[in-house]
Amino acid sequence: MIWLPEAIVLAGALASLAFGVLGRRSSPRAAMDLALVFTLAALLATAALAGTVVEAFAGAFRIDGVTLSFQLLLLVGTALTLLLAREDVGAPAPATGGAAPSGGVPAEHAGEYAGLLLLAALGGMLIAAAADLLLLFLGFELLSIAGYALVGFRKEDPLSTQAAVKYVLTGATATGVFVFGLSYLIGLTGTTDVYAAGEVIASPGFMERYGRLIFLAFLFLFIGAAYKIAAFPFHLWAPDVYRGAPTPVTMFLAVVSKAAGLALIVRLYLGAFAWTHWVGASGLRESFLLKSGPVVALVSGFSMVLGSVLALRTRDVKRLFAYAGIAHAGYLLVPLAAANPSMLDQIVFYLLAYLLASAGAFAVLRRVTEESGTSDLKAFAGLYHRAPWSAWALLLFFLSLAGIPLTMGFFGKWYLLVGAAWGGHGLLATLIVVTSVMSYAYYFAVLKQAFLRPGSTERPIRFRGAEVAVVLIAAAGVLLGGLLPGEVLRTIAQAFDAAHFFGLYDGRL
Amino acid sequence: MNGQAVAFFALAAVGLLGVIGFLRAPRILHAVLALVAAFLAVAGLFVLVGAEFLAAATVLLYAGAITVMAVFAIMLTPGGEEKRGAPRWARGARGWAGLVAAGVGAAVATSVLATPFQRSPYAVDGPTDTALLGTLLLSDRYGLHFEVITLVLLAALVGAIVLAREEAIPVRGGARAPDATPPTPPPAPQKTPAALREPTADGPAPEAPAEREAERELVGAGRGDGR
Amino acid sequence: MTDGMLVGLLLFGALLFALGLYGALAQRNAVRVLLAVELMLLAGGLNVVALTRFLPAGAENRRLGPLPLAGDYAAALGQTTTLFFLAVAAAEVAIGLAAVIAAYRLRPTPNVDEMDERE
Repeated sequence: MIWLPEAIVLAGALASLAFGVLGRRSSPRAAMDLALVFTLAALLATAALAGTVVEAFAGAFRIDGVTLSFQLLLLVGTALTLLLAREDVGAPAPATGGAAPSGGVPAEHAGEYAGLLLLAALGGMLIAAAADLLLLFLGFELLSIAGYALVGFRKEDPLSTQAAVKYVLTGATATGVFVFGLSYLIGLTGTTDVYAAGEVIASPGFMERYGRLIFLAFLFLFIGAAYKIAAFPFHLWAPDVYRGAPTPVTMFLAVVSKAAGLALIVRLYLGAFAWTHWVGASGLRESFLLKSGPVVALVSGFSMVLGSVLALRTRDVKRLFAYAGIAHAGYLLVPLAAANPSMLDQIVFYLLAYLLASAGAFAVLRRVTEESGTSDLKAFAGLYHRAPWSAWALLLFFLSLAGIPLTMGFFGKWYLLVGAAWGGHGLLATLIVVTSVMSYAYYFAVLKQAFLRPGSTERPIRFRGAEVAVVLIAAAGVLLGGLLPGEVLRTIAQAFDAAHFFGLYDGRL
Repeated sequence: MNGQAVAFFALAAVGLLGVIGFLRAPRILHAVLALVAAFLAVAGLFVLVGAEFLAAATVLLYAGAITVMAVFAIMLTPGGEEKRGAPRWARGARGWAGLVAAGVGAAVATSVLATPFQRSPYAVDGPTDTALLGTLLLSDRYGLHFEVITLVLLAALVGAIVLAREEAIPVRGGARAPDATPPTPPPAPQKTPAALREPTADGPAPEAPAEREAERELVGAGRGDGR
Repeated sequence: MTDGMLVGLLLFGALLFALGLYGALAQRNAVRVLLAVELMLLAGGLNVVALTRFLPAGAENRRLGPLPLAGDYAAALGQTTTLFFLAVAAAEVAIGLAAVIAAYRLRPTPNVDEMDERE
């Protein structure tokens, strides 16, 4: 039963949807609790699979280190999202009445809210587990389509529904690009298996003949998938969508969607392309990595710089998270560009740090925007006086996101730097440092409001129980990762015992 | 030039004209009709390469379902075509989009032309047995895909219903609906109680969910009758 | 199927894709953008069907072993792939149009460029 975690999440999604239809009269939040229970069960089931490497469904479904670590990340992110979303159900419309980046979803849609969140998470889990090009694509679509609906869940607010339209249109265009690349890859290799496609690409004479088209296919696939992590060419949807979506959904897009998109890129890039070697026409050994590396580096570099520059210019905190997220997508691609033996450890460690710090920051952000009805920087003014502990927690999360020493985020960036230098990408390493310094500036702008500026009111902010829980879990994780980075990294590295992911190239093939 | 080639060029020409018509037609319904021609031409191309089931599916799904859905959406969202003047950024955006599209198209086309394709000795001509498609769809491997696509459709279905359904007006803040008796339904959406609501110290005034639910249903029923 | 036919189909697919991409980037009306994306997806489907019919990579694969019924199998595989593309396309249009209708209800315009936030 290696597909047990997926089955549990699916059961949870269906149960939540059914609950939404049948159990409406009882507390609407019960649907979220139900979904949370299933998510935690799936988390346990995934953890129980640790260390297994096995395939099912004639090789389309594969459990290995990549699958399990990404699935754990996705499930943790989903559980935190559900905790926050629990407070969203039936929450009042913003005090301002009209368009505002706050406010909850209608209570009668609680079941659909939970169900679609779990379906989206299931899409992400399928991406992580897929060793089949078509299954990767279908998981990608499941995640996207559930996401489109989730963004528009605050139906009374034009910001939310317009964000949904923008998200659908950009996402559909990216899907079109992805499908076109997929069509050449599947058509030319004649197989939908990721690793078998890689094997065909590496077969003698294939690249001489079809190399140009395969490279184009790689470009289309990579650019289409970059949309999901909000990296450069397809990054422009992020600010508007992040702002308009319900805050828990924003967090889901920033954290779970990004992790799933990265799983897609990792499986596709490392499975079918990067590791293929062949003997060229001149008799020399050639590898795809040399051709594709510069493309990945370009996307990564542009994302880092563009995200940071735009983040400096915004005054809206949700948009700031979107721009910062673009920069983080750039960081996350660095290990792939600067390919080195421990690049998967670096990606997962950084993702974990990003996930925890973002989740905590979004929990604080949610309460603050609900209180003030706006997500402008000014909403944070006087936070230190209104809820001191949350201001300190925010400080911790932002220090981690910016990469200040002694936090988990610092070690994440440090590993990226070491990896980039190891892979001989001095320019990327420099960009990491420069954009990190820029990130101090934009994160500090929020902290300045929270600690130094007087608010319009001194009224204390009362956090809801679930929000406190998210903040505490995130803070504990960030501190733990910051104090014991070596232990965390070692645990991650164990999952990526070379035999798990790359063993395919030595043993079975 | 054999019959196949003639058919190919004829279908390609129809498809191209359809797409150009879709892009250029000033009225959106005309654009959709032109697009149907393009979809039918592609279905014809599918027949030409022996994918008969796929041709039927294309006609049903693209020329049928998708187009009808689009027409419904167009009917439900009138007014978009009245403003003919380009928005201030559109000129630049169009040029930019044209450049990107032309560049991508040219890159793919030159790569296709430069590639020495080699027909595999295993390749077969003639129409594909549809039974084989069915077997494949339910095989060990693609059976999983088949299950997943049902989930994709489920997500789209649930999402589309949630987004597109017209809600009963949510009545908030404990205020009574203006007129809760069914025979005289309240008028279309207006910000009655929500805008007047006083923000309280700790969020919304706690109220019995059942009561709120009952109010909403009454208002919803009223609107339903009014239509 | 001859070489010329394959190249013709691939070129037509590239043309469809490019025109669809142009439509998706340049159109103002959200419904038109969605339909332009359908063209891009259809172009992908056409490519797969044409290429698998021609079977450039042969019919054997070390990971999966020799493919059963070689040519027929590959052609059916390509068509199955395209079937999935079609289903996904329908799902995307459904959710996209629903989003357009939901947005239109609150601010009556189907044009994407008029949906910018007024802050």
